[in-house]
Amino acid sequence: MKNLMKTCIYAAVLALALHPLLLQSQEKAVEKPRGDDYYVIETVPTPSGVVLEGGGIEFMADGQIAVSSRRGDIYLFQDPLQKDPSKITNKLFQEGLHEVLGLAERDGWLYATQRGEVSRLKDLDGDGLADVVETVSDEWEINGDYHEYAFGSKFDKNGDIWVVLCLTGSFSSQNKYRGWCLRVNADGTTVPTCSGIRSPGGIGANVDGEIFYTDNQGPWNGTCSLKWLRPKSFQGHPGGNSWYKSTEAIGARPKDPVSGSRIMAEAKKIPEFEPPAILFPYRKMGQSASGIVCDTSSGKFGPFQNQMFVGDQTFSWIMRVDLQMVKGHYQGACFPFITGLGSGTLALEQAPNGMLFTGGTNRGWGSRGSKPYSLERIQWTGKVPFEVLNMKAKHDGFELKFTQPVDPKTAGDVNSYKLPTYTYIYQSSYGSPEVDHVEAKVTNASVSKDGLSVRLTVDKLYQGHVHELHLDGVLSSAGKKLRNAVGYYTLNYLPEPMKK
Amino acid sequence: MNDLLRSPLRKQVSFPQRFDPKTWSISEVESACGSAKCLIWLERCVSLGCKMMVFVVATLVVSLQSVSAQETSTHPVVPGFERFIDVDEITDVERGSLLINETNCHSCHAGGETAMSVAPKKAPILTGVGNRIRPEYFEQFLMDPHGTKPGTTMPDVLQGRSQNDKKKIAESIAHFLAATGSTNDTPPLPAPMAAGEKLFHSIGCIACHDPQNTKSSLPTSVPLGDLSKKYTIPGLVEFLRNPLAIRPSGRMPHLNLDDTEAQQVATYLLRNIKLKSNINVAYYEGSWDKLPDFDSMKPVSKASVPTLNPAVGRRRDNFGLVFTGFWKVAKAGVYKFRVGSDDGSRLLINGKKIVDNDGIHGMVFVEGTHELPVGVHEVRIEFFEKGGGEELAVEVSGAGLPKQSLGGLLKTEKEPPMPEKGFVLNKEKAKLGGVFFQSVGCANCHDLLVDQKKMVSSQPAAKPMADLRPVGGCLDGKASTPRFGWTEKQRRSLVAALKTPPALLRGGNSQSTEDKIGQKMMTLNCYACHERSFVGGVVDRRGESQEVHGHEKWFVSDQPEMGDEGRLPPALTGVGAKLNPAWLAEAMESGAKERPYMMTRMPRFGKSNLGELVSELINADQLTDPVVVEIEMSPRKLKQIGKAFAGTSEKENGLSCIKCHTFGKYKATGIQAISLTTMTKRLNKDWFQKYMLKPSRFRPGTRMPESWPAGKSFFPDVLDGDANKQIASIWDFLSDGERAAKPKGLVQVAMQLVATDRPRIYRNFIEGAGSRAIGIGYPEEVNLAFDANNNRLAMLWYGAFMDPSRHWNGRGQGYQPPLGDNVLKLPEGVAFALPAVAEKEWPKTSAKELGLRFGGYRFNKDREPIFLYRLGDVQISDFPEPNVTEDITNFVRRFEVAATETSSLWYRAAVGSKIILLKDGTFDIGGDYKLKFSDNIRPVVRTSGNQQELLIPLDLTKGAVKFSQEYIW
Repeated sequence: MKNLMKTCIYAAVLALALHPLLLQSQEKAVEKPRGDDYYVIETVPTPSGVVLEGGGIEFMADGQIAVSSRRGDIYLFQDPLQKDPSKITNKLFQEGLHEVLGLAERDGWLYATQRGEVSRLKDLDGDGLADVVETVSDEWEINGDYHEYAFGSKFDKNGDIWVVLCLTGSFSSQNKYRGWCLRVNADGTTVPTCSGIRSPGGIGANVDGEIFYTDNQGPWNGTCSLKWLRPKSFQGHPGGNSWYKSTEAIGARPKDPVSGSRIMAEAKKIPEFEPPAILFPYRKMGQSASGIVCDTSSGKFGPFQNQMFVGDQTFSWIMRVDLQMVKGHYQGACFPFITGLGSGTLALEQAPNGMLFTGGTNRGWGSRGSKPYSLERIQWTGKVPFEVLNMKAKHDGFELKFTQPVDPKTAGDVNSYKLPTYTYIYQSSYGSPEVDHVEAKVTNASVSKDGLSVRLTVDKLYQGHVHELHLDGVLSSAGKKLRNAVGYYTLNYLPEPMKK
Repeated sequence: MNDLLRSPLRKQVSFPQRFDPKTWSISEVESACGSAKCLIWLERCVSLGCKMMVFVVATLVVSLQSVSAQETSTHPVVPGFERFIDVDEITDVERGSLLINETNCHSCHAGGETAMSVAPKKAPILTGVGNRIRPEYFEQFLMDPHGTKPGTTMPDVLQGRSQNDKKKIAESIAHFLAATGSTNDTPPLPAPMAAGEKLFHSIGCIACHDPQNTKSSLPTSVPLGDLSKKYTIPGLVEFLRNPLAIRPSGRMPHLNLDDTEAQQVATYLLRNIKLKSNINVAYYEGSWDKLPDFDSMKPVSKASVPTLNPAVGRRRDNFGLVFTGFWKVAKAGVYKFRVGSDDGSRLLINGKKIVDNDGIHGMVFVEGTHELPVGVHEVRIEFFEKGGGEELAVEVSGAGLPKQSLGGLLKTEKEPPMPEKGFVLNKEKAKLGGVFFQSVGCANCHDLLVDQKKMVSSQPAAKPMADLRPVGGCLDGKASTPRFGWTEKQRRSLVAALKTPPALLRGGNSQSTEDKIGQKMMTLNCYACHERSFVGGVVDRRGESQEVHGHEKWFVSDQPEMGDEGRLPPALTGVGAKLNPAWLAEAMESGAKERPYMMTRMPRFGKSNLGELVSELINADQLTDPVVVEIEMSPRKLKQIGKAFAGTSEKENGLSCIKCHTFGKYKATGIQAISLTTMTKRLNKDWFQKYMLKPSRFRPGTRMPESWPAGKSFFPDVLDGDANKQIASIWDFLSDGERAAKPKGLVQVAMQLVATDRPRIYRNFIEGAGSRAIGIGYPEEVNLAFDANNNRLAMLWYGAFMDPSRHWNGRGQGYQPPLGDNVLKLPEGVAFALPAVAEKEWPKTSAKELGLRFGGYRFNKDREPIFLYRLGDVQISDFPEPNVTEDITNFVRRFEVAATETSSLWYRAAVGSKIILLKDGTFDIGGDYKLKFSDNIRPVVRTSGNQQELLIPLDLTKGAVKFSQEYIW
């Protein structure tokens, strides 16, 4: 009898699987919006037959968005903010460029960062296709190594595009300026700006207009990170330092770091070394940090205005970063934010109405999102999620701000918090395990009158460590749990106590 | 403190990687001694209840705070003892038991309990040792074991005798051992030596031995001594081919070297052998297509040489050689000869042609056989080289002779005089030596068959182990007992072990399975490569990356992006749960090489040396709560689902496993991780289910992603969205092994870019056009590639444009050639230069250095690109256009060159072996293609070296110059 049952089930499954209508409906199904109560992810249709592995996105002055692909095409999308995303149309602007990983518009030109150059494109006759592809700067060199990517930023306040150049094969710098950041002005003037770069995944500005890039786990990078491109700084990987011989723009070659040390131990010895502002703990906060965008929508994308969003290719998600300036250096906390994107998240761009556009790829590197490429937009539903809004270091602990008032009882209980800390080995071999684990103890948690802040005091802060704050016990005044009950603060520098 | 870390003290201690203080910053190390950090670790360790972990931490503190004298390796070096020498959690009793086991005390002192769960280390089997080891070595070694081979575990058994007696015994035993065979010296040749260096430093030899390409000595290294004094190359090859046949206890495991690899490693290790010239050679000069009649010619020179190396004369081309020598054949039989050469060669024995490999060719082997009686035979090898590379190899095997270079067997004279100092076997001494071998105790430890009969010790039996008093005797080696050269620490350990009543040696019956595993890993030195439960692993400088010490060959991977996971052997924590029992046994007994990216091999330890290790590991590592999965579905359908998970199709439930894992012979598109087709052969299903859910639980720091974060599936519609069921489907699919159906995305399909209504552009790495190539395919089915690095037209071709699949699949490494045919390659380097720069010779420097900059392109109304570049104030526009004629489509390039200040510029239009102006006004370029220019310019042919170039001077003083150039090819 049981066997008979089984056979019946097989037959049913087979029949279902082979049903022609079912197959068809699966293929033609319009993708439903995904996400949660707070953020909705919608797929933007891409040109049929084109693999649009979104490497760069630019919201243009005329309301279109330009999307560039790893295969070298640029498409323009018309009316991208309209309610029904399936109605968004697109048109080819230029094809056949060399892996464009950065788009920025200025004075009617679209600037594209290709592997070998920054170019600018323009449609002169109004037929929608670019009629000129002009080389703006090709001050760096490439060979046939796939790793030699170039990521270009938007224009900064001086009219510069910042270009970060991946090392050759991620270990060494066999061609000029591999492992460097160059600033390319709209007029073509190119200035070497930073050294020490390994393998960038994205570049973008924070609210102050300072430029940051993401670097990836590998040699001299124990885990992925967000790094501040302070001009003339060294970003940590000495592989490209031989090019100091080619320029005086950022001074003399810094001392090489010692392998097997710790980031802050070396930062003390090497003044040029700018420690990573945010370490994204490997496998906890992604595995391949990518695109960067700052929320400048003044609240149209939720309560996180002026914070940064950072993609992760492997995890197909977006993280949230809250920065703080301590002793002249950026550092701060990162939190999970939006999960479940279609492909490996690469480019990020925000539209003036707050909508976030993201392009993805999983070519060469696998991702949780299983699509080979994707173009998606994310909207805030208007509901405020209960989240840690800010996590700022104080000399003796942290100050937390929440998006909604907390329940004073749970938030005021030190047992609602856990604070393990750890760091990574700063070494020439690939990556690092978490090391030097020490648990910091929350000794006091005091809730502000309005319930929106909690001041945590701890027994000790550990310089150079990621402070991984778990707040599983904290409830909102309405009894809700946090949407993300964890934050990771990279404590490079200890803030001084406030003067009385 | 920093200096202390580098001091020789560290030689004695090795830290499990996790605790390696070298990876700590200075201040952290300073604060580590007795500080919070250690205490925290200690707390963690204690809380985990793991004894092994505690002693490692203890080691760190102890070793940093105490300084003891550096000890040279004139004491017996037992890797397990050295590794855990200062670890407080291992008792002296345990350490002493290890030494008793590893120096084989039981072979003289019968009986007694041992704390070890591993059989004692047997001494090398000496049957046929005369084939492997130089006769001169035996006597030297017997006279002074520790001086001759530092670190040896063989005691000085002749201790306490008069120098005369000692000499007599040693000499006699040397003759006795030498009589068990005969050695054959061959010279170390450069090619296998280089390959051997690479092998030695990458396949795992240096896990236990010192690297040879650096002067420093590493902690816990087993010294090799001066190997070239001990072994001949064929002798060491025999040993390396199967170390377990000679050293049966697996302390030196079998690295599964094949014949060639054993030859290479042996040649490298014996690279210091210097042989006397034993082959006559005559050197001729001339250019031939076949072997000439050398006898009718006069040699340019004659010499004697140690090898059949063709590079003996002054020429590398157009020469001939005749090697001659005499070969004393000791055993009659049919011999096989293999002669390889580039170009031609032949082998003659006693004037008879045995192998003919004549003619001009690359390295080609020809074989022949010949029966030879006992006696001296004249060997002649003729060789010639016309052009290109030159190589010669003559191998012989057969009649019991292992394959080797015939050159090594030759002598320059028919009856060579006895070497003055060399060893001459004396039968009387050998006979006496046999007696000594039995009476002085050699036969207690060493197996040796003479005429199929085992040598038996005639030495009076030593005291049984149980009756030994822990004082004097072998312990201090002062009396007439064997002298081991114990260090004080070793002696203390031995005393402790001997003092312990036998019943307590095994700690009552409390010895845990984990203790037994630890003993085996310590004894077999598994810890040199593998960590288990925070103990052991590749440590110290052995594991450091190349950038630190400038060497490149230790524990490497051909996938550097995989990090340590790709280059260091895996941790064995939990291995008994991970690997299925059959594979676990197979890997340890017979070795393994399943990780294609990792150069280090898992060696073969031999079944008998592992005892119960397999079952001990299985018992110790058992996972609780087995995953039970029940799926009501046809097996075929389930495998289909599993296949979809492994593949990359986004329409299905692709997890893209094949992006990082190879699939049998199919490469992955990213890193090349271990093949999916071997997973079910190696792994336990239950472990696989749990590992896939959370890989970092079993392999901390692994790059293997979590595809079911928090146990949730991305595919809620597949198998009820149940992670365990989905994982089970992958297992079922993979259980087909090599026969498994190919997942989607595995086979790359070629692609083709086609220009239909307008030109198609492809900027990428194009072979022949550089890293910034701009390929243009035209609807007229002609194509070009422009090199934006040098601002030159690089190639023209007909037919199909480009296949972008190399760059559009996977990561896109490397250069792709044109897809079409009739590819015309145009001159490399820049095409425009100022006269002053190009006057003497066309510049070879890059465009950027010359100031020639690429400016991009614009399109005409037909979307055909016009390339723009500039040199200072000179602006050049370069418009290649398909030129459709009646019979064929060509390209015409239309140039416009303008300047504001520069008065003249040169354009190099072509380079060829010979450039001829034809009657119709076209130029023939080396017979490859033709060029036709507009009438307004005057090309000039210039000879430069053995080439000619077509230069076009442009006068820019009268405004822009426009001219055209047609390519006819």
